[in-house]
Amino acid sequence: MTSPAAPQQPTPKPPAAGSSTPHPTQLRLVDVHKSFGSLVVLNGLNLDIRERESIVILGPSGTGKSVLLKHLVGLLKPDRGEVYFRDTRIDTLPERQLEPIREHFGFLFQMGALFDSMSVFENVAFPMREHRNYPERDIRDRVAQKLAMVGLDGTQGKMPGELSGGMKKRVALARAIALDPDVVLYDEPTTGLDPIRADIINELILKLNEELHVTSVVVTHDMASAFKVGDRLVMLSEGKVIAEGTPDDFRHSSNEEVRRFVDGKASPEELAALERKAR
Amino acid sequence: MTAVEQVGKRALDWVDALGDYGRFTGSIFAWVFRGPGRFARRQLLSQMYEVGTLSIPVVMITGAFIGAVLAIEADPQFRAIGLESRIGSVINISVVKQIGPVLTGVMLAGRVGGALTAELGTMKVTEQIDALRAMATDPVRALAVPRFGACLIMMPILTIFSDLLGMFGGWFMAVQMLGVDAASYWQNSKDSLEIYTINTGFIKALFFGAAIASIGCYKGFHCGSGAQGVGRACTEAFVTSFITILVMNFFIAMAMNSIYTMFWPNTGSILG
Repeated sequence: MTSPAAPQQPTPKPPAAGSSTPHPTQLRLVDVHKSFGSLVVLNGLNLDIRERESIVILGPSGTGKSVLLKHLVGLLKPDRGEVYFRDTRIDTLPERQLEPIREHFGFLFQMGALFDSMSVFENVAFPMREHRNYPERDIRDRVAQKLAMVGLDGTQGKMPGELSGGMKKRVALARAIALDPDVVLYDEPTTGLDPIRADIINELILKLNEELHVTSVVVTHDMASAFKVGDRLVMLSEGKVIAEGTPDDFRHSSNEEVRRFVDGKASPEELAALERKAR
Repeated sequence: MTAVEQVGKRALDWVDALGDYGRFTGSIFAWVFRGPGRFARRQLLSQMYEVGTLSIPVVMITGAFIGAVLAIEADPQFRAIGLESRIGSVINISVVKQIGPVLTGVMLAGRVGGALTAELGTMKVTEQIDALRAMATDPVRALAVPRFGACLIMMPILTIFSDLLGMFGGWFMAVQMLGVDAASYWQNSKDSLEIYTINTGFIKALFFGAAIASIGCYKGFHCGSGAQGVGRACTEAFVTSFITILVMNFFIAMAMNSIYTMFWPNTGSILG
């Protein structure tokens, strides 16, 4: 585990073409800066994500976890820095050239982002109809297969408004894997769910990793989820990686900020500030 | 920041937004010509129903009453100079050239423009537009193009309904209620309404439809966060569409009049 207080590792170089390592770097962020107005969200962030690994991005709210995720698929462009998917630098690509790259990704949004004017079937079929020339019968079979993977076969005719929060996320997950992506990005997959439903989502993430051999990038502040699904955990603070390691490294970390986050305890300074405001 | 700097910043922001809107509208046209794909084509029919079919009653009602009001207001003036038989030409020219397309445009801006903005704005704040982009689908192609196409197709059709009911309202009030002679009413109407006049109304309708859809979609795609952001975008969409319709109406009237006098110089101006 890297020392939380230590500066980040030197900027790595982009991956060499034709690298033959067993699990080469699939996604790479190099010195990424991003601000919204005067608010600095990412402040020189470096991160490598290897193929087929399950990496969890941790950090308090507002530290840029979701912003990081959106940079990986080109939904946001960095103010400075570089973003790579395999050997391709994607942060400089125009929208149309990004589209073929995005077909390698599945993205589970925090609230699911299901199209509420379409049924469950139409939602899951949407990417297939857009990007594959499957006959309609094939689409029906594939949608049923994807929904079965998330335990929701038979809900094809329902509208998103008729589903519970957990079911919406599972349908959104079925849609995210509709094109058999190489990378699945999860933005707060368990937020807003009760512990049982949250565990179902965690199990699904593990199942998809095993069955589809995808790279998973999970943004969360749910430690139970992080320990369950992550091969590697990365913690952000003030727009930078301050710690990374295995779940065991985080469990036994001596770093105060990591310990407090893992244990869910506010710092004395934060509590003092709260008291001052209350007065 | 000084007052001068503030004015300068506002002007720059306005120019920036105008350029952004121009680029957005350009991308809609680019997708229309490039072919928007299966999803957008399927959406077109349902959007035509939303935009057009559901607007017919409101457009017909307003058209009929405006035609009737025109007859009520014009009748005493024409009767005073003994020209009440010519009231039909004034009502019908006004309805076909000006009131039909403008009123239909305003009604569509209120009923459909606001709804477009609210729908797309809600999709934006609930990350549905980001979801489309993440699924390698251009949201302009999938969402804006079918709505734009529906407004462009349905606006002239709605204008026909508005025109017909405006004519009916004018006829009913003038002939049935105020006692104007029906034969001379229709004869004068027929003599004064040229194909060019009718086409002027349709050309206006096309431009208004394009403006309502592009402004509504643009505001929806660029709305602020939360319910307040969506609400503000809806208001802005309606106000901007309304002003744009009135300004466009003036410039199209000028252009159509210039074209008319250029091709038919001896028939006099038909400003409108």
